[in-house]
Amino acid sequence: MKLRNNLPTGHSVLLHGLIYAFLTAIPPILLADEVTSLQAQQLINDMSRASKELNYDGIFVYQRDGRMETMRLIHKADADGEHERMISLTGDAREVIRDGKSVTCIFPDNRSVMVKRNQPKQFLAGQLPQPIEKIADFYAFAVSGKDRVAGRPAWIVNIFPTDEFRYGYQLWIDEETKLLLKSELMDKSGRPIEQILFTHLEVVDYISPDLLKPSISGPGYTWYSGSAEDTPVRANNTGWQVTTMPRGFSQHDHEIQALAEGNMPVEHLVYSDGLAMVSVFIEKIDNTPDEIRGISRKGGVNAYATYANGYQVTAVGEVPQKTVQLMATSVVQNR
Amino acid sequence: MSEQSREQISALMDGELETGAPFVLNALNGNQEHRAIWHRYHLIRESLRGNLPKHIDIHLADRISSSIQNEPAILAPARNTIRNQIFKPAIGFAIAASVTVVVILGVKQAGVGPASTTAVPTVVAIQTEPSANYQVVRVTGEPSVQNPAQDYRTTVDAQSRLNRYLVNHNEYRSNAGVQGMLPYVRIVAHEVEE
Repeated sequence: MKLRNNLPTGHSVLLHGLIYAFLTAIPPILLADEVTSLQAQQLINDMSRASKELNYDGIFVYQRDGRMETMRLIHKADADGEHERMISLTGDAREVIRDGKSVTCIFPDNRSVMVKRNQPKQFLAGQLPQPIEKIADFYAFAVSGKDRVAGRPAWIVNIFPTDEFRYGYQLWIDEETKLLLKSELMDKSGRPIEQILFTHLEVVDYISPDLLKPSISGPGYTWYSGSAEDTPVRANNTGWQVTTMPRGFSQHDHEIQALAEGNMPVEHLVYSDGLAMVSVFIEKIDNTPDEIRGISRKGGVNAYATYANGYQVTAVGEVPQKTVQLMATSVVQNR
Repeated sequence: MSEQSREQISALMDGELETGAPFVLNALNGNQEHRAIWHRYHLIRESLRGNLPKHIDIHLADRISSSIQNEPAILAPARNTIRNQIFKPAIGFAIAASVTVVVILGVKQAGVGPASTTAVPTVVAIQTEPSANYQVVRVTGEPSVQNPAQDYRTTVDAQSRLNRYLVNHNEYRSNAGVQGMLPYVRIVAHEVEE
């Protein structure tokens, strides 16, 4: 008090302001943020690896648009790569079974099966998988606490988008195995869009091949299957490109494939900011320009379709509507 | 009959045509061929669901409509001067509905494609046998030799196109390093009833 009385008021305010500014700017506080950000990024990298390399069998709840469903996920990793089977335990027993060679989607509701054959994915010059450090410019990371999910202690990790062109995540990552136990996808304002929550998860040494077989047998089902000529080929430069996209997005891949549908091959351009991914499909269509246009949505996935000079252009991704719309409507062909 | 008309009738059956429905209904009303398709699609759908009785009267609808024609007119549908404006609104990823369409078109194409070399059975085959006043519809479990891919290619359906896109997108998604969701939940998940 005495000191302050001896000093002019203006100086006192200035002094306090300087001290305050100094205190808030000193390394220890920034360092704490950096540490949790780096911890978060490390956990996310560990999670990505664990989900590909471990054998596990779990049951989770999927929630979106006010609706809840229960599913089972079985994952096996061996010398042949990944094998995965996801089955709906509520409603019709829909399944997706995938491995390095194909993806099989089974819809008992209408007794049909879609099979997509894959070529082994070889990404352009190792651009994918993307080291998480590269996405740090467009998202902020934090470890925001601990929780317990499916009876397992978990870290809570946040990924915040830095603009409204991307979604954010809150992830619950198993302390022990680093597997994803719970995930919420949310928009910039934190509004949840969809979430998954494991209620039971077991990490095992061995997954029986029987667990990865489809629960249906052939009779009574109609199969739709791509033929050998449908395997994608790396595209030459056909000139199609997205000209406007949110900062941080860049092209990761480009292939042409017959999507086992229609006679025309489909061009598939892949764009990513390292976390979010947007696919742009370009397909020549015959005289049906009114077939589909505008926005479609399923859970956290938005699609925007537009029509240009005999081609349907469709952008699909786990990004907000405005992002797929921006990208789809900016597609041009430079020849 | 155009592919688009078939699609629209199918979409109408699936409740997918919101704003376009009045136009398609008008087209149905004025066109014998459209009505026959409408009829057949319902038969196929019901037979796929196993809902058909042993015998059905396929002329019931005709008899009802001719009775109605003999009654005094109460409602007159608007004259369809904008036939060409039939359009399909944005429809979302309706996997179940789209695959229904595919199944139907696959049946339509039965036997057209070259012999299959991919060795997966295509099983749904529908036979119709005319008799005096009834038509007997049987769903057989016999595998028919055809090329499923060929059938699939003949379908140009916006929804199944979107679903294909989603599967292709997911394949990239699943191979990407960082992800916070299980991409295939959106395929396995059922449609939300609007």
